[in-house]
Amino acid sequence: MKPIVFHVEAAGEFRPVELTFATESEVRRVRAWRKRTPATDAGEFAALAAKRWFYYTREGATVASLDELRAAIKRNERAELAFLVVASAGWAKRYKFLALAYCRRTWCHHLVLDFLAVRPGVSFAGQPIRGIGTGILASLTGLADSLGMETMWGEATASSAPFYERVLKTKPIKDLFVIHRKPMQRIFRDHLRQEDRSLAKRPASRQSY
Amino acid sequence: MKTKLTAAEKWWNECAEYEATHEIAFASPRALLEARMIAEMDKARRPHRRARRNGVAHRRKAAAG
Repeated sequence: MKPIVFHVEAAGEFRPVELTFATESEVRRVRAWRKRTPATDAGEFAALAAKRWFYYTREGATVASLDELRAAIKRNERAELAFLVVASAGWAKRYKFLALAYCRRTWCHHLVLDFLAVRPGVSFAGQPIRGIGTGILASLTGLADSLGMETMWGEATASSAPFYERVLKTKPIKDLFVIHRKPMQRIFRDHLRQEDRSLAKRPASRQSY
Repeated sequence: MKTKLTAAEKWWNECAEYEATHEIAFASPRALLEARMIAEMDKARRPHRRARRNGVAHRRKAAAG
């Protein structure tokens, strides 16, 4: 199964990050974030998202790949399914995973974002890695579009609303964001355009991983 | 020479700047509540193993007789 690839800026270069559906062993790794980054929201959310994933796995309501998701929808078009995606990069060897997102496919074929967390303090060559959260969110709009979903939505809080407003280009966002097909496509297209231009400006970065 | 940034690049830079100065750790309140309830349920279901640790003998109830 081919991963979804997006690019982030690390140490002045654009580098690829792979976004994949998490399997059981990967969810266990994510759960361990809490021990490595104690007293952070990301650590707590990672552990709780993993707990929720295991709970729904016991109920047979999770998928661990895009193929599984498509097959489950084919079997039952009203299926409620959850999945966890994890971001990783071969060049950032210090971290198994850089970030995660917990999503649900609802009975009416919408995508819901429940958790989004970037591992605190991720860096490369002594510099912060930029654009991980944006890359995940843009990739999810691309995923929703490729699955023919008309809507992506999620609940927002006082701390998440400003981020969602920026990435989803929707203002104002209060306690709920709802993105329909056209804006989803625009966000994904703009993210790809930005990546293409940035990679073209730095030809060396294509070979640097 | 510095090239003019496209709208897509400006948008991405603004998002990346925001990420650099804010922790990206978000949960939907309802999802968070549900996950916490699952965690509590798990905790309640787990057997209490602590009492058996460190070689402490498990206390048994005296048999009636």
